[in-house]
Amino acid sequence: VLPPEQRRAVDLAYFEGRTYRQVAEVLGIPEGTAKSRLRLALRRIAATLEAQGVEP
Amino acid sequence: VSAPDFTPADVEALLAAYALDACTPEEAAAIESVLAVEPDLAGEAERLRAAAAWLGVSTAAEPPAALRARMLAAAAARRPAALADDALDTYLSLSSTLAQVIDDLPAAVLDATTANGLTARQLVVHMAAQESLLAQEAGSPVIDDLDERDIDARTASLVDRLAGAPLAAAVGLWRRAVDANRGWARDRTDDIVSWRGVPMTRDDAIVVRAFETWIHTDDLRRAAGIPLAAPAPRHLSLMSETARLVLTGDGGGDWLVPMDARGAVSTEPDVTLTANVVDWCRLVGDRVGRGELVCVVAGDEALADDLVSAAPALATL
Repeated sequence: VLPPEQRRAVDLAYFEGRTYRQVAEVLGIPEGTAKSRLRLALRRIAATLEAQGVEP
Repeated sequence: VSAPDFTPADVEALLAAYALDACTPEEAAAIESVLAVEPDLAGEAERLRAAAAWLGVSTAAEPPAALRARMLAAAAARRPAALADDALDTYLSLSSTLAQVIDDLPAAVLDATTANGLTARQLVVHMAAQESLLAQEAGSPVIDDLDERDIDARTASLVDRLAGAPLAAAVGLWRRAVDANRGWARDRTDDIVSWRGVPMTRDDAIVVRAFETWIHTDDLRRAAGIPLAAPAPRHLSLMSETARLVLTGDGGGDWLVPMDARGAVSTEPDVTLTANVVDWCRLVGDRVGRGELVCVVAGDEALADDLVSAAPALATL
């Protein structure tokens, strides 16, 4: 469902319990980029669920 | 730690990180104060939270244990009083990490001696002994014919019983006990349970188990020569509540320690001890020596020395 760079950011934040700052550090990207990758990922998941008729 | 001052635009940019619990506690608090007055943002936050709750479902792998607690919290989110269960979430998350570390242990490390004197294999048995003791005390024993309450004797008995069995046997008992404890903690939030002779609230017992799970996970990592790892800040902050100090770093905070026998807390502390929260928790877990703790002491240095010396006793392990 997710592009690899978004998937990796989500893995670090959600499954490994890191903060978005740590996500940025681990991936070597600016904090703003980490925030937007997480945001794009969750919005994509939300849109997919909504398209499938899953109520949030 | 003072809370950051966020504009609605700042909050919008951080909403996904917030929905994933990937902000510091101070940032989360500041975000929540903005959400309270920005209904559109609050709606978006709820949408992203719901999306985050599906993450585990969207992967082929077994979802992390924390997801279950998270989904329960999400399901109950419409009831104001039913928010996240911090104690149980911490216990399940750290248990899940331990399971992963055990899975990754090279076979050659199983007979290596760990920091507490047991081999890595015996340490897994020790965890099964401990979790199953809590399950037993909470009224759902998971191991037949084992009711020993002294933890060393219980561990020794289980080590004998499992001699020659594959590691998976010990892991299976440990998992079953963690599952029993999860069921108990979920259903009996107001219970008082006896843990090693000390009556404790359900929350305290679960946090004590979470704390020891982390310490022994680090023991296994150390034996295997893999880097140590600190729990997520939100989990650390819960476990360090038993050590009330000025603890710095993500998950730290300020606490007043009752240092006299009556447990009375003065509003004017005689000494302020400032240390990094991860270092402090490792001191409490008796995994770093008191001489290794880097701390700043302001006030009565003898009292600070007493506090540091007593730190390992705070764990109630």
